[in-house]
Amino acid sequence: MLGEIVKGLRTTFKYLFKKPVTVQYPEVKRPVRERFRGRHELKRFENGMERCIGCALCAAACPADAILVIPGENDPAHPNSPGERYAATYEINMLRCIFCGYCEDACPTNAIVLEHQYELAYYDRKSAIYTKEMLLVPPDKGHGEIPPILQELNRRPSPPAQIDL
Amino acid sequence: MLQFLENIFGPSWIVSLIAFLISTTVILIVTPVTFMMMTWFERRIVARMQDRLGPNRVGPAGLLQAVADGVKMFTKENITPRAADKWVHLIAPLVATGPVIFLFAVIPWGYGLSPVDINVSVLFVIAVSSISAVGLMMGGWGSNNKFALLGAMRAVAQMVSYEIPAVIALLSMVLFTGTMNLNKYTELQGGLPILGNTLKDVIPDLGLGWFVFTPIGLVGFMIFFICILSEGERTPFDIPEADSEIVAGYMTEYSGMKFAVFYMGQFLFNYALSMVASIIFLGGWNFPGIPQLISIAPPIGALASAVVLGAKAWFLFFVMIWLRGAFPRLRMDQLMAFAWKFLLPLALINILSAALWLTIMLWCTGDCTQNPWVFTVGGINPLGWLGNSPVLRQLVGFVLTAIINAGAFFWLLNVNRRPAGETPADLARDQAFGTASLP
Repeated sequence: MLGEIVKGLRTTFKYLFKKPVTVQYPEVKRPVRERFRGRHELKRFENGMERCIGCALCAAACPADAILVIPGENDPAHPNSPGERYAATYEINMLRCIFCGYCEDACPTNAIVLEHQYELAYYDRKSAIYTKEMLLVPPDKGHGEIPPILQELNRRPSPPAQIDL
Repeated sequence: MLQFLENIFGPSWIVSLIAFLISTTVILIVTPVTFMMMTWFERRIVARMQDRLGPNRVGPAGLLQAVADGVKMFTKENITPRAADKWVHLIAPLVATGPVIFLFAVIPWGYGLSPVDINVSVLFVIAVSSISAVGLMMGGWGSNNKFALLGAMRAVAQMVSYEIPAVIALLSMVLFTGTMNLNKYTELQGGLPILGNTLKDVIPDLGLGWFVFTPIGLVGFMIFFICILSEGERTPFDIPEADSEIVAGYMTEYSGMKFAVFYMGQFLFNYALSMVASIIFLGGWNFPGIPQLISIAPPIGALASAVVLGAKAWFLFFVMIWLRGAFPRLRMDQLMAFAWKFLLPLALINILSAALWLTIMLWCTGDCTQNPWVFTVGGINPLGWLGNSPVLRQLVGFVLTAIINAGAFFWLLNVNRRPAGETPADLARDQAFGTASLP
């Protein structure tokens, strides 16, 4: 009996001096996996044009019906995207989204990519709807650039576009 | 404090009043702060044993976590169940916690830092600490909740059973030292291990003559410490509020500050009894260097002695946390069997050892004709060969009591290994019917 008692005490005492495994979350963020499916981003071509052509195939593929795409005609003088149409409205309801990635598969231009941001919290339902402005990457941080968190880790970015028009 | 003020202003009732008011204030400030530090310490240490960090958000290293908890407790809704006995429900936390704070009044915090120096402080500690059980029963009964009542019954049964070995363990020390004054215990534990103060003239006072180094003190300390764990509802014995079994025991219907008061009582009880154990068994504020410091500079010595005693009490509290990190909870029947079949007989044998030690020490010492301990067998003093040297007598007593106590310990361990009457054949039959008791 005494042997077991001493053994148990020794084990806990040993653990007292081990480094805890806790990650201090808001300050320290564990890097996600390369193929992690987080918040969507609408990518651009290297020349700054939007990849999205407003075809709404992503909305059709979405099993949760989370995506709303309303296409618009491109102004030939200042086109938003190559081709005739672009997405005038592009909204994703993040409360409906199940992060399955079917929209990625459906997209003919690889415009929509599930990226690595996972901190999605809202105070009301309305702010759960991400609009095009929120999803679209800025022109200078276009498709070709590696996101900073991946740069630190020396990882390759999300799969590059297969079609370049 | 009283002595100090009387030395300055002379004795008068108003000086006494002020002195006691100051002592009371100090106790009422120090004890809740101690409680807060204890909760923080426990959470941090247990977390580290479980590979976690513990509270580290509020203040440096989470030190102010207890303040945040206090704010939370204060602002929580104070619920009294509609069917509860309102007054009993309200008074129960006070009855459970008040006596615990009384305990700090007689415990010397350091050299000359005893708020009230009474001659029977050990008796006071035993008597007053038992009152808490009434508060627990009131809390369980007044809540009008069957889980609370069950928890309270478990708690009271446990506290009452474990008080008996605790009291007998203390009684053996009272017999051993001949005093009930907690202040005296420290004086008696100077000098060297085992030999105590007997070689004072030859070797300087090392302050290491702790009773835990004697066989009687060691067994007494073990019994008393286990009983502290049980009375303070610490982990191997935390059945009353076993969170995985019966909600929160007698605290089920308590919320907000009433719950916090119960909780404070429990933690302070642990601390008070750790202090008592440190004073009686671990040499009080004796440590190499402290006796010299006290004789050179009393104020600094008093401060250092308070630090040493506090360190010992905190060490015992650390051991409690350590046990919590290491061991699971006992079953109720195991708990009761352990108290009545192991601790109680061991405590009784320890009393016999203490009596034997006392006999060896006192038998016909000094002038035999004057001594009340004159007793001869056939005209010969059976212990005459020991002479008057306390060193020799102590060594003989040490060896004899060590043999008796070690024998009793291992004998009881062996006797308690199997439930009584359970032969291997019984065990096989029980296993065949699926009614075997757990190993």
